[in-house]
Amino acid sequence: MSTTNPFYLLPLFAAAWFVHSARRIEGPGARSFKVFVLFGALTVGTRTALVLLGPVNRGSVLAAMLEGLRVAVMLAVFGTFSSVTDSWRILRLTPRRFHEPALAAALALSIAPRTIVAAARVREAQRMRGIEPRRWRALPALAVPVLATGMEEAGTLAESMDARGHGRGRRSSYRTEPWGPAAWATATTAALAAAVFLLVARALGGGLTPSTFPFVWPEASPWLVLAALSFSLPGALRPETRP
Amino acid sequence: MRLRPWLVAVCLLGAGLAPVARAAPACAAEPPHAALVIDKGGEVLRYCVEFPAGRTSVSGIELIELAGEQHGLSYRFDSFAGVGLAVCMLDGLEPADDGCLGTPYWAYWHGDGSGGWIFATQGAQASTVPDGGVDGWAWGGSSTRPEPTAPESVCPAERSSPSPSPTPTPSPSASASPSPKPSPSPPPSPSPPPSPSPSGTPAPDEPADEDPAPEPSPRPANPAPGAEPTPSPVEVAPSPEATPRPTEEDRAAPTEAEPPRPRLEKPAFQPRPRDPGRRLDAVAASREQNDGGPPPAGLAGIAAALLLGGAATALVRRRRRDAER
Repeated sequence: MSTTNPFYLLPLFAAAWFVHSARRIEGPGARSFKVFVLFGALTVGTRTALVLLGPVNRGSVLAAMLEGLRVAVMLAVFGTFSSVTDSWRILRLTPRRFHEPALAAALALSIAPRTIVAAARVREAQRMRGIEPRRWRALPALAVPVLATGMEEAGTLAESMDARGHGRGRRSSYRTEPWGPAAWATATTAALAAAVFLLVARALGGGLTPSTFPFVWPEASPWLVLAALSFSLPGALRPETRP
Repeated sequence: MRLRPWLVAVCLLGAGLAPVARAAPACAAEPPHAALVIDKGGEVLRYCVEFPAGRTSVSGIELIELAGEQHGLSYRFDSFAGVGLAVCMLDGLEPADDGCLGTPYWAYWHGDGSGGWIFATQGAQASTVPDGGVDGWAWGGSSTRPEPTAPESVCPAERSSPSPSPTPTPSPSASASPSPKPSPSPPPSPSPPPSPSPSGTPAPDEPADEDPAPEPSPRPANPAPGAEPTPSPVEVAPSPEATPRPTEEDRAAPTEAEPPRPRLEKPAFQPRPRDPGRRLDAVAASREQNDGGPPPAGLAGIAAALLLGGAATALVRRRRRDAER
């Protein structure tokens, strides 16, 4: 179930933005929100430009923009997630029996911050050598070392995991971390908001995919708007300090 | 309708061995089929469309194409990059302006199995019409439902003749004879829709008379309120206006006693769209009434989103100030 209704997408984006601003952690991942929002803007632009391949009119341009917006909001939410979480700590919050899938998820989620770190390092190195990396021409010079660093890191990670017995059915040496009140509150509010959104949308509709042929103002269910906004509640919680 | 495998096998065998076997009444209703209802806002076309061999479901677009092959329905699609095909024209009726995307358009509906309609949430290319399903297209907008149509009234369980009888009926609108039989003396011969004039009308041009009824049958003073048309084997049922239709008011339902009105306010029910522009006006006007600006909940959501954004910027600014200190 997905929506292209801007009345739900914009509150969702605002919630992601707020959570990022309130709860971002120090470190390289904190920049991932900005990076992903940039990607999202690029998506909206590209998707709208694709309209030029077909008939161009108000309806088709609007439909393309809303579809782009949907992807952009998803990217922003993902960026928020990587900027407010430490994927390795999340790994320790998962119950032990879900450790292996959670490890795979954590590895996948850590790609964004790791790439950002690698890019920052390469840029610094280039600057020290007198290369101005802001120009477009410097992009290949940036991309190749970043990709090479990513491959290298992946190889190192696989070796170290193999050395610790992952993938061989052995117990890992990770200690799970207990869930504190903030973790519970965050998970509960998010689950509640998602459940309300899905159930209300299923039961009452609410114009998840508004018509743009011809354009009419999309309907907006107050419940769905509230559910979208309530995703920002975890941003107002006090964080837990690491024990 | 679920078919026994052996029955299908027998039918397929018969069809393969001798094409004549297809004409056998026993097999006539066996190939999967679905009903296609096209409500032009006064004239309702109902087709029983057979699926191609080996298919148990088709898309809405395919159903229209099949109706074109089997019953001579005229249609036009336009493709939109990234969105797919849009249905622009059905049976000669299409938006007057803006290419395919004019304001009265073909609204797409799925039958709910008991005669009612559910607005389609997917395009006709992505939708699936199952065996025994009903697809409906209503000229108007998202609030214009097609005529209530039960699947078995279009595709009877046992069709006596294999030759499907689409019979697009010039619906006599106001002169709703409660009996669902075909109209009496000058039979509305199942002429294809683009035929110039309904049988009985002398000239293709509309007479100044606003009476849209093509046949000279004396109209009953009262169209028998509450008379439900029993689903007839032949899909002529001229749909008594007694059956409540939600969009009746939108389309300027014809009233019996009214004298001829000025042209622009002509009731939307006409035997065929001789002059589409006028009808478009009527439907467009009703649509504009429905479209009354952004919903308050949406505006409140946007305002709250702006507030959240402001809070986010304030937080970032404060953190930066703390870091500088």
